[in-house]
Amino acid sequence: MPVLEFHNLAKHFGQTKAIDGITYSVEKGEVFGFLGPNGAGKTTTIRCLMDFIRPSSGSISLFGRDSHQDAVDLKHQVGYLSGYVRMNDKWTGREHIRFYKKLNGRQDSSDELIKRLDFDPTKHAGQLSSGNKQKLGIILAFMHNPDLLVLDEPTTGLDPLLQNDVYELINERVKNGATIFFSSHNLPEVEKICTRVGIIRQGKMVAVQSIDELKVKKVYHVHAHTVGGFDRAKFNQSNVTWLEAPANEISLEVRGDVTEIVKTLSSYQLSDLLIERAPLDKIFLEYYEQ
Amino acid sequence: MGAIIARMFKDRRISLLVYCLSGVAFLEMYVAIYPSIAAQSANFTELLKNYPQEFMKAFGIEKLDMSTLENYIAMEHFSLIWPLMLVIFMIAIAGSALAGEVERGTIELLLSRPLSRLKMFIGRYVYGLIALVVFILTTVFTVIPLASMHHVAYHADRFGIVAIMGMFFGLAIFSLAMLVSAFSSEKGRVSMVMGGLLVLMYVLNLVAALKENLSDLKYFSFFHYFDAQSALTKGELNMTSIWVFVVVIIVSTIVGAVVWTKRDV
Repeated sequence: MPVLEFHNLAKHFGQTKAIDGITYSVEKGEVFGFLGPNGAGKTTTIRCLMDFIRPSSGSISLFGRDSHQDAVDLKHQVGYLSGYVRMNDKWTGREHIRFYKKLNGRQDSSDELIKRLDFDPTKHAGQLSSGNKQKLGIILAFMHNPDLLVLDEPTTGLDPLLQNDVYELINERVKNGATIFFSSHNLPEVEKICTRVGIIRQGKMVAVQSIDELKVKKVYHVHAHTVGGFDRAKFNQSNVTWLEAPANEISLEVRGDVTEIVKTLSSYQLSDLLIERAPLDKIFLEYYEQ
Repeated sequence: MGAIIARMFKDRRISLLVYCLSGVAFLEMYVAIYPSIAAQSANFTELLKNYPQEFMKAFGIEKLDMSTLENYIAMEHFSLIWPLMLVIFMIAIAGSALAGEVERGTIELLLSRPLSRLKMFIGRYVYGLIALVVFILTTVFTVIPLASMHHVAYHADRFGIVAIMGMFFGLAIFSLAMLVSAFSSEKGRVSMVMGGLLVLMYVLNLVAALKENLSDLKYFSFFHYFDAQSALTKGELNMTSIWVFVVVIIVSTIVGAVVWTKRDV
């Protein structure tokens, strides 16, 4: 049974269709990356999932139960962290932790997280830097050992060391059976930690695929220098795009099979050749721009 | 819910203390100067007789009699300053209880926990109710030890009546402000709407007092129903006023709770 299911979910703000009928599911133990350009509907989807806002139509199931009807009970099992976490500025970190511990009513690992993230809980939230505020947000989201973590751009504004701490925490929770629903703009980070991704654009899901499947959608960058000139027209094939480069360089982006281009290149005497797989960003961006 | 109420107390303890101490300070001032006012009572009464009748009506002063502490303090304090303090205090609590939480963005953190919106509403409402009781107990009944201290005669029962009336008046204001807060995403908007509404009510009561053909307008004003003068000078508790406040309390609270549980935050 999927941990998380969106059934034809739609959310409209007046005439604006922020989410326009999305349907997909997330399985137990997955790290699901939720991607899309700004304004695509990522945060709106997450806010519907957390029952902060109510869908215009459709529904969301969490652990087989309705995310709105059973919201209170389900939140024992859910941890939530936003990249733009807002705290009570007059409370100390410790006061936040104590208060939310009472509300969680679940086994708690806040002390361990405080040590691990090297967080000072005696300071008022208003005095904390954005990175330290985010540390507190991480502690509050992870402290009750939730079965599902909903993370909305959780590494925004974090230094690389703290980003790695977050990735480690996520990996540990996944090993312990948790599921992660992870929205991000940081494509290398998604490639690094997610097992599957969903790409949303203008409120519609344009793709839901595993990272491995995406990698199979090979995009190559070919860079070559010939001894003497070359005929540009010979390289103009349907799956080829010319990249910006000096006039004496062949610089191509090839989608899919690269065999024909290699054959064409072999008809020249080459002084240099580089064929590399394009980063995954390229594939994501193609979905964004479709 | 206990955690919500306890946290509200901790967060708002300074403002509760300041409001209560301010109310007590006003009482001390009026009670302390009352003996000299009482000694000059006849002169003051004569002076006030020269004031225009409309002015006296506007301030709800029916009888120019300062011969008792109750008459004096009803006119000076419980007809304007005290209800004004009560109104500001209750609107401030209601504004920060719901709309303030949305405005600060802390509502997401709170609602990401196993806490129903209804429990949150009730928790905040209960805090408002307790704060109201504390404010009324300290700012009304402190008059008794203060009067004893300054050797001024008093009628404890009349202060009991004004406390009961203030309780219903304050709770009606608070319930209405919670309703506005449930709709709003900005604390300032709650103050603005409630301030506008109460100024309108005050004006309606004023116009009704000044223009006989518009006298029915008073029924649309809380300031008509909150009659501290009658409570303190005659020891009267107008049950119609209590029922009006009860209806406002029940309707506003139910509608506010429904709106809060259904809205997007």
